[in-house]
Amino acid sequence: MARSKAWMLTSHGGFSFAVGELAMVEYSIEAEIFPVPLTPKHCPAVAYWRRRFVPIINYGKLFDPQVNDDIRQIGVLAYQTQPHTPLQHVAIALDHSPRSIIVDDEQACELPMVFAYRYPDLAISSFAFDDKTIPILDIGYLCSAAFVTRQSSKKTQGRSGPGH
Amino acid sequence: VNNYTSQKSIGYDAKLSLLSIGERRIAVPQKEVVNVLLLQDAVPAKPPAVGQFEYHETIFPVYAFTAQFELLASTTSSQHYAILIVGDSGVRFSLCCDNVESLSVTTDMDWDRVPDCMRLTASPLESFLYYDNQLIIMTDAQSLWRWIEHAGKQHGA
Repeated sequence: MARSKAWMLTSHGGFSFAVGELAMVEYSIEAEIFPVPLTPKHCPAVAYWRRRFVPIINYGKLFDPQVNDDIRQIGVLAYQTQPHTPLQHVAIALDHSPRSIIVDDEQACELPMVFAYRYPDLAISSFAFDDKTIPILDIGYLCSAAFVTRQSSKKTQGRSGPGH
Repeated sequence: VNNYTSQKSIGYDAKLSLLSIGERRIAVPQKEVVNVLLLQDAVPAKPPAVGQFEYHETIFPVYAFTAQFELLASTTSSQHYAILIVGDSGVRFSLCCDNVESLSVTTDMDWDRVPDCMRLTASPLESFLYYDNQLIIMTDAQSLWRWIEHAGKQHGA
């Protein structure tokens, strides 16, 4: 039975997800945040962090369009688009500080239906925790042009499938 | 090709024209700005242009944006100036703004390309620059023109 450390995050709007232990770089409640026009609804701002701009993903908005953009807390995550390439960074709008957890293989469970219908490829897997199903996100895909394109084309075609 | 979109590590000394439109600050390469004129001297033009200038026997249609880059049917009360822009591809147009200043970008300034997850079709946003504790949106003539054409179609022009 394999056990792994992970971070459980609660997005702005209250949606939980997990990332690997090494993905979490910093939790900040005082980042300089700048709204940016003409961006996808789920990516409405940038944070000026360690002398660079990182995009802020308002993850909750993927599941509930009513989630606002009043972002105060962020978690900065690191990811790679390919092995042996430099680390990229992204911030996720959070409602709470991250929680360090240990997950073992026996907790693995099926992804929530919304991922299959609306966001295939967004979650790598999921696990049961505190009576909830927690997806482990593919941060690289969430930050990719392919994800934006997919959201744009779905918007054009109209949404279908069950809600979260 | 914009000097300021080269890699951060290379370093550069780009000159920019920094426009204020409401709370938004937008930078375009100074080499693409051929003149700054008073908006009150523009003559009427066909929408979505809010006016036009004749400059060196060439017509420059004038466009007005909000701070959110929405195309306006008329200028706002704070927009007093129009910059005349000519792109490498030959596009010529004018953009309304509240104010214009010059800015030299040096290697100690922080800027980044707009990441993939923020890019929408036809968006004119190219890079972000941190200056004077503010976010400056860096763009260029070709990107702005692409956006004007796109927004103009949505506008019903």
